Amino acid sequence: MTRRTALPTVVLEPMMASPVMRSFDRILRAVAGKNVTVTFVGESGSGKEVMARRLHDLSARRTGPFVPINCAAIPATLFESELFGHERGAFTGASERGLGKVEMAAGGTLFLDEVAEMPLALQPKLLRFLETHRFMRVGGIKKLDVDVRVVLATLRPLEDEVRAGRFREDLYYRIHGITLAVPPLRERRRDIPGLIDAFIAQLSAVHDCAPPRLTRRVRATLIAHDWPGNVRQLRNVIELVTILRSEKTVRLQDLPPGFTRPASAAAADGSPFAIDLEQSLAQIVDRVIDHVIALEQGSLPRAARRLGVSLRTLQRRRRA
Amino acid sequence: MTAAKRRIALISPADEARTVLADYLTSAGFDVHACDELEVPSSFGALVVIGGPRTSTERLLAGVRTWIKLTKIQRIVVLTSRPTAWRDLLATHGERLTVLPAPVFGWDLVDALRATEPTRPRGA
Repeated sequence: MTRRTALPTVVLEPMMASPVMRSFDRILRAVAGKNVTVTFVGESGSGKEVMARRLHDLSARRTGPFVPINCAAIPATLFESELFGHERGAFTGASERGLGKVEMAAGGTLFLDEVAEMPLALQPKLLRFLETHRFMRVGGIKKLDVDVRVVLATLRPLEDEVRAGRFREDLYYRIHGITLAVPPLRERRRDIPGLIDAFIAQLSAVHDCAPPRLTRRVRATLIAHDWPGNVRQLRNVIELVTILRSEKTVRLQDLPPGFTRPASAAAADGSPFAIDLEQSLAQIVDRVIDHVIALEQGSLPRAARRLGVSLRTLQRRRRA
Repeated sequence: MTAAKRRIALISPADEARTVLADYLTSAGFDVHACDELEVPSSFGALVVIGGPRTSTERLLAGVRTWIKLTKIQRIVVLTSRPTAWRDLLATHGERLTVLPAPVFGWDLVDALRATEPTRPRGA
């Protein structure tokens, strides 16, 4: 088997080649050191936890733990114990005192993912904790203090959940500090090539196989795809072709159904190009450039010719 | 985290990436000693081992096996593009050894290094 010789790498920040992500990172840097509650809103798979972790890394709390908890994955009956811990004998099976995520995150960051899924009955307890930073273990009689920053994430805007009666209004206003919308992958296409390469490197290591080769046409198709499942979906597709086409060339027909149309066709007739006048001129220019590169199946020289600019100008604009 | 546990060795060929990673781990609260090779690692709470393009996996494996045998280091984290080569050693020493497939986020390394820190409730 062909072995890879590239130096194993440690990535110290998420992929942020696209202007929209660079702007997002500037905001993260600005709020990281401030004592404010941050809520990430974004589609499934868009990288909300990665951004929360980035926020933790940029803050003074980076020497402390980062403790994630997925509110959608915990049964309602266990939620309070999971979050606040329990005393010995608090319930059947509690043979020892148990540590909750809140205590585990002491000195660091507690990340509540899919917070809208938190049981309604527990929301007043979370509200009290956010206001006082004091809590009581299940079955306990003593209030405990903890220094922890709470960061939240949700798929849907919490306003909708409040309107639907699934989320308490008082809790909503308490955590309504700074809401950051994590851009979906289709709005940060310039990050896709780097993500593809990183996933190929990692997944060929995980599965102990030589990396596949992606043709320019396949790369362009992946860049032009809309990715409703975002980065997670991209990773899954790369995992599939890494396993099935190890050491071979990945052709368009090797991609899952839905990817078989060439990028140029998808860009030309599948998704008509529209300009959003709410965007800045720089953002519109970037969108035009990305669209033309997709039309030219990833070829920068051809894209430059089509745009009527020099290759150097195009490369400089992409780096800006 | 005790002072001894904070003290870690970063064993990797000297280059700019090692310097950047050492700075990152230092900012995460570790006392980092970066080196190309390590003869006696017993004064460290944990080791991070990253092979270079010319480092043979077999040699790294032999080194880590020796360190596990001769020292009481609680955590050895290996970053590699050949994680399956470490499968046997992981099966016997998984409680002290973590193998991460490259590339990884820096925070994955930090989490692996912190994995052995005791987290007891106050008053326990």
